[in-house]
Parts: sequence; structure tokens; C-alpha cells
Amino acid sequence: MTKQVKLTGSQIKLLESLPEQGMGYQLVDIKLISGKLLSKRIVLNSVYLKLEEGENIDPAQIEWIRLHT
Amino acid sequence: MIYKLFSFDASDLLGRPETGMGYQIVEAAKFRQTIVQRYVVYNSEFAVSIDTDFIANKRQLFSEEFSKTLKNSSVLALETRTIRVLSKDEVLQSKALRFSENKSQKKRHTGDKGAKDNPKENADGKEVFVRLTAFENDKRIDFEMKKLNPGSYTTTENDYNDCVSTNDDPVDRYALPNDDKITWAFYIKPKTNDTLQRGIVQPAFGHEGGGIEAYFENGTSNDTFYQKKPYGQ
Repeated sequence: MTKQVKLTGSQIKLLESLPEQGMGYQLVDIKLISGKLLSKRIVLNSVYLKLEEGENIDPAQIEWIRLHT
Repeated sequence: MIYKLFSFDASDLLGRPETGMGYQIVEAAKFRQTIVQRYVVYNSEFAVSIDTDFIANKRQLFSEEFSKTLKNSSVLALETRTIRVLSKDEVLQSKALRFSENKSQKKRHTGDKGAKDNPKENADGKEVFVRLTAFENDKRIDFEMKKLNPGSYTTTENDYNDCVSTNDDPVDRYALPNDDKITWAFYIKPKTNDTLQRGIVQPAFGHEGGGIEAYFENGTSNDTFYQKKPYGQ
């Protein structure tokens, strides 16, 4: 099963206020504090960010998160 | 195994018709071989063998970023002159291509318009919509005001019942990106002043879709969420 990480309270709150792209999920773009950009990532229930294989993301290191358009 | 096509073959396939939306089913022999094998080619770029672990490979292809898959895939060298794109009829007639269940028996729908492609309609005050999720604390339900939050998707109760009664896979029917089992169904009966857009779930994440989806841009009125049940009960 794919690994996932729980986002922080403020990130969850933000995503709760934004529309879904399908039942129970959102596609988001993320910028990490390190400057790395992550595109079209899946967030389930506005709470859980799906990680790719071997990936480890600390939600506290997310600079911004926004809906993928 | 997922392959990337040799650039010459990819260009050649780009000039040929698709078998279905976004894919071609081709038969071809590998370079310097005579035995013909069948592959599903996505975006004229990636080829997945139909006969070996097709479902698992297809899921992998759609669960990873294409750039990453492209980087990690081996090149499939084909005898270009042997490449033949199959028609849908040929695919359906071929016993070897029964990689997909017969979805018509699952009461799935066909059409190329998702909910957001269709105009808004008012709820009739009687129809029930269901939201399926793996999470008991669904963030799209406002449990205090008993309503669906804005920007949320559901399916219809009728389609949900079809999904359950035909023993269909909800993750595939509603093209969901998660591997988690759907465990909860939240029931919403919108009021006549609530608006929605209705359409057919389009293929995504390696799933076929074909369920009904309803999008509530503005959510629903207070006191429209009325019950939560375990999936299938």
C-alpha cells in the first residue's frame, strides 16, 4: 500500500475550504521550504498526502500547498 | 513490465488512430523476432504487455509521475514493419484480451462528460446522493450543520445501489486514487434550492470509471446530510 503522511492542521483547514477534483480527493501542487516543487500530488480527505515510493516528506517543511490546475 | 517505445515507433503510432481514448492496442514482434505479442500503448509513448501482469503494470503506470516512469522504463525495440494497431472489434473478439471485466454487467455508464462538463441543475428535493469514502470523519461533511461542504463530489443513491448489487469495485467505478477500501457511505438529500452538476466518472488513476458523479459547487443546505452507513449495508 502507498505510504501517506498527515498534513498539518492549517494545511488541512486550507484544503477543506477548496474544491475536490473527484470524490474524496484533491490534486495539489506543493512547494517545500527547500525550494523543491512537487506537482499533481494526491491528497485524500483533505488530510493525507500520498507519497511516492521511497519518498519522505515532513509536512512542516511545506512552504505552500495549492490546488493543481 | 512497462516499456517506453523507440522514438521512431512512437512517431509512427502518433500518426495512427487510437483504439480508445488515450490508448492504442497494438500487436508487434520484438526486434529480430517473429513471434507477435500484444501491448497497450498509452499516449503513443508507453507500452504495457497485455499478457504479463497487465493490471499491476497499468496501475503502476498511472500511479507514478510519467517523467519518473519514462526514466525507469526499458526501451521496447520492435520490428516496425510488424506493428499493427487493432480495432476495438478485434479487441473485443479476442479471447486473449479479456483483461478487463465485462463492465456492462456492472451497470456502468458510457460517455465522455464528467460532472463539471454538464450544466447545473436544481435538486428535486427527493433524490438521494451518496458519498463513498474510506474515512469515517469525512471532511466534506459538515456534521454540525448536517450538510455537504462546497466543492464536493458524490454519486447518486441509484448508482451506489447498482455498484453494490452488482458487486462492482467502487474504487474502479468511481476512478479513485486511493488503494484504501471504501468503508463508509454518507447519505445526502439536497433541497430544491441546491444545485448540482451530474456526469459520468471519466477514466483516471488506471481505473475505468463509468459510475455517476454529482458535483455540488456550493454544497448543500443545512439538514441535508441524514445518515452514515457502512459501505454496502
